[in-house]
Amino acid sequence: MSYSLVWRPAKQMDDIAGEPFDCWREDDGEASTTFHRTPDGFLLRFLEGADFEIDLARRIVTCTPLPEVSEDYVRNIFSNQIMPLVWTYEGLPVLHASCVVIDGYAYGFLGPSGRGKSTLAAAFASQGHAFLTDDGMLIESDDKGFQVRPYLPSVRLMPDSKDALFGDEAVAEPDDGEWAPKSRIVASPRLPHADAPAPLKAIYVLENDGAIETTFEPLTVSAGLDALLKNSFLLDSRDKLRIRKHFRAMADLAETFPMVRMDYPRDLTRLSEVVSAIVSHARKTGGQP
Amino acid sequence: MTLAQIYTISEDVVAREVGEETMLLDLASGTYFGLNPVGGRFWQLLEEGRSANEARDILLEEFEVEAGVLDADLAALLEEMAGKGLVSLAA
Repeated sequence: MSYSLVWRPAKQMDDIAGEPFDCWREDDGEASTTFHRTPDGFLLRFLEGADFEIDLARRIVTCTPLPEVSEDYVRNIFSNQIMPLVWTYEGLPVLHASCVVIDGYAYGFLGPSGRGKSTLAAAFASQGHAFLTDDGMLIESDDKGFQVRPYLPSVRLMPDSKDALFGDEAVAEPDDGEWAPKSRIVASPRLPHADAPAPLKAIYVLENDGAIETTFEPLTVSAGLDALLKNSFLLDSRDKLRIRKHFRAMADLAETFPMVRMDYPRDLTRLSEVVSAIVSHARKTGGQP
Repeated sequence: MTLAQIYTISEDVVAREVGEETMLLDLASGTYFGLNPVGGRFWQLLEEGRSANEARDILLEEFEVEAGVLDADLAALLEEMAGKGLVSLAA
């Protein structure tokens, strides 16, 4: 499951022969990441960060960062983008979700960047509900059913969320500076991290439609599958065998677990109230819509 | 496109019943497509090798729907699915 990260000296990016087979784009259409095949695996170019060459057989990721890009920023890409993509490729699905433990069960918060995944994870943890991950939810299935694996024992927060939750209490790792304004808050007794897998119970799909109160709405299985497909990692969008497996894995999840559309007031002074509402919903219904 | 024509299902499509709907994943494009229960059953019948007309007759027996409405819905569905490359007219 583990890969070694090997660093090469920083330099400007060389041209890559051939067209990428896939591309991630920003909202304005600008390419942010390009995907290329190599004899040993893949080359992923994060255009404002680094090149990552993935050697599947040797299980090595070689990183060549741009000059002046912070090491923390590159490590974050490795942890929160590269590894989830590789694990999904190897058959361990990873969702764009944070995940917390309530009464021994894992509850995920699914959604794209900016929906509040990390803030919710930190808010739960600060109230005693340990977090399994703040981004990159690893799901394995075995004879015990679907389990969520613990991932990185830190939470990355925007300054306003960090201040609202921790003030000056937390020890923040060096932030990403101009590359990304988030700070990394390491797990602590004040921010407990779950160190063992927990059985999955339900997945909340985060919306942001200006809710005044915390609301819950059940999703149909097909709507849940749609949300999972839109918010899961997939390394090779041309690999039909793996896409087929991924589709089936996501359908299994959507059929097995309640998926609940959730919206909540984006008011950091009300986070405690939001956490209470979710815990109450989870306990009352076992996550059932 | 008419129900009398013969259609071939793309080998790149994976179908999966989820709840009351059927989701079709097009492996060639990576896109997916949802079908209601009638559409899902229609797809299933096409997968079994039925012609569109045969499938239409079976649907009329299985669902409470007027023939004219069903014909129009199926023609529109075939048109849409052909446009997405999920089915094609048999050579």
